[in-house]
This record gives sequence, C-alpha cells and structure tokens, in this order.
Amino acid sequence: MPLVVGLAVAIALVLPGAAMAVDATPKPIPGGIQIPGGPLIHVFAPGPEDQGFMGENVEPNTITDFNGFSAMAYIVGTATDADGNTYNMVNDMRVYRGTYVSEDGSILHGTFGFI
Amino acid sequence: MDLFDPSSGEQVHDFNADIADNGLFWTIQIPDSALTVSKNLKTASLHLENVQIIDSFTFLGEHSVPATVSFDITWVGSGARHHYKPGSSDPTDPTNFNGKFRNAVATGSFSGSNADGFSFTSDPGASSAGVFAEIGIEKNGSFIS
Repeated sequence: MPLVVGLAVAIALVLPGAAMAVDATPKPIPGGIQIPGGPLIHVFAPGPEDQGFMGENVEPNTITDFNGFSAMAYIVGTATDADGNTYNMVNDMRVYRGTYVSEDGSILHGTFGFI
Repeated sequence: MDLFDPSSGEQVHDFNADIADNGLFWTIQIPDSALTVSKNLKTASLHLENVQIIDSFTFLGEHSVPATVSFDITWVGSGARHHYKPGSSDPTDPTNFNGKFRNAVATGSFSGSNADGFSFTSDPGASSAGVFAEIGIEKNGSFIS
C-alpha cells in the first residue's frame, strides 16, 4: 500500500468523522419559474397578483425540506454611484432561519440570505 | 439587488448570490448573528457586510464579475397572520407549503461594488411600502408530508 494511501486509511480509522465531509448545502425547492427559452429557476414570486406577482399564498422560500422563520421584501428606491449617476433600484431580499435537510440527508440548522 | 438606468429603463447591474451547482437560487448561508427576530415574529432585522457575491449586470446574465454588498433591512409586520396551507400535493406547486405570515413593510439601506470598479449606495427611503413584504414561519417539503 502506498504510503499516502496508508496514511489516509489510518487517519480515517482513527477519525472516521474527518473522512466523511457533510454536504450542508440546502436543496432547492423542486418547483420554480420556467424562463421562456431559458432555465427553470427554483424560486417563486409571492405578492399581489394585481401587481404582477403570483399571489400571496405562494412559497417565498428557495430551500426545500425547511422548517423555520422566513421573511421577504421587494424593496424599491433609488441609488447613486461613485460618479454621481442615479439609478432606480429594485431589490428582492429574503432571509430564512431554521431546520433543513441538506443534500446528504443531514438535518441541520442555519440562516440563509436570498440576495 | 437590481439597478436600472432611469432614462432607458434598462437593467445595468444585478448583484446576486448566483445559482449553486444543485440549482439553489441566489441563496447563501449567512452568520446566525446577522439576523435578529423578535419573539412575537413581528419584526426582524438583517445586517450583512461585505458579502461576496457576483454582479451579472442583467437578470441571469451570462457575463458576471465578483462583487460585494452590504446592507441593513428591517421588517415590521402588522395585522393578522395569514395561514397558508398547501394548495396542492404536487411538490412543484407554488402553494405546496404551510406558512403563517403577516404582511410587513421593510426598509433598508444598501451598498455594493464590483470588480470593474463600479460602486453604489442606496439613497434614503428605500422601502417595500406599496409593493410587498411578509414575515412569518413556514415549513415545506418533508416537513409537511
């Protein structure tokens, strides 16, 4: 057995947890918005239908297998760059905190920002 | 965070957290300390500094550059809580979640810069008033099955 492989096996035997990295990545919601001619993006747009959104009874989360706090906002205003130019600003901002099932099936807790 | 040219209406910057390899959309883990939520779930504040994201210039733009953003957002909920129950058992349905939310007004201040040297700061008064915001709790996926 080559030395490097032997060392790796020895470390794995002594520290089994060290050899098994947890994939803490949350899983996306299975649904989403199909962009015409483009991808399915795993997000919905809750909000009043008379403003062009999908309705208020619509999933605001981008993470599936989730249980916890959730908040979202469409924040509008103006912004100015370093040269003094002004812009109209529209920010879809969301935040989630709770328990979720990660990609490898682990049940974890975390806080996430949608930017 | 989207910036539009006020003359043409065209989008010129799209600061976002990118799409993960597994499809997770514009969502990244942040420190627990960044978010404060009141016990009655009526208010929340989010403070983040120098978050490493990208500027894709347009929505789903193919060209992007590294960027950083900082922002403060405060949600203030009001009124009765709406209880949203799953409207479908189809996991892809937009109503396939169980939530209790109050409508809210969110205000915030934002700044950012990209690797091209562009930087911006929001002007005072940025708000969700007249658009939409909500705050609450929810569960989805395996937590409702």
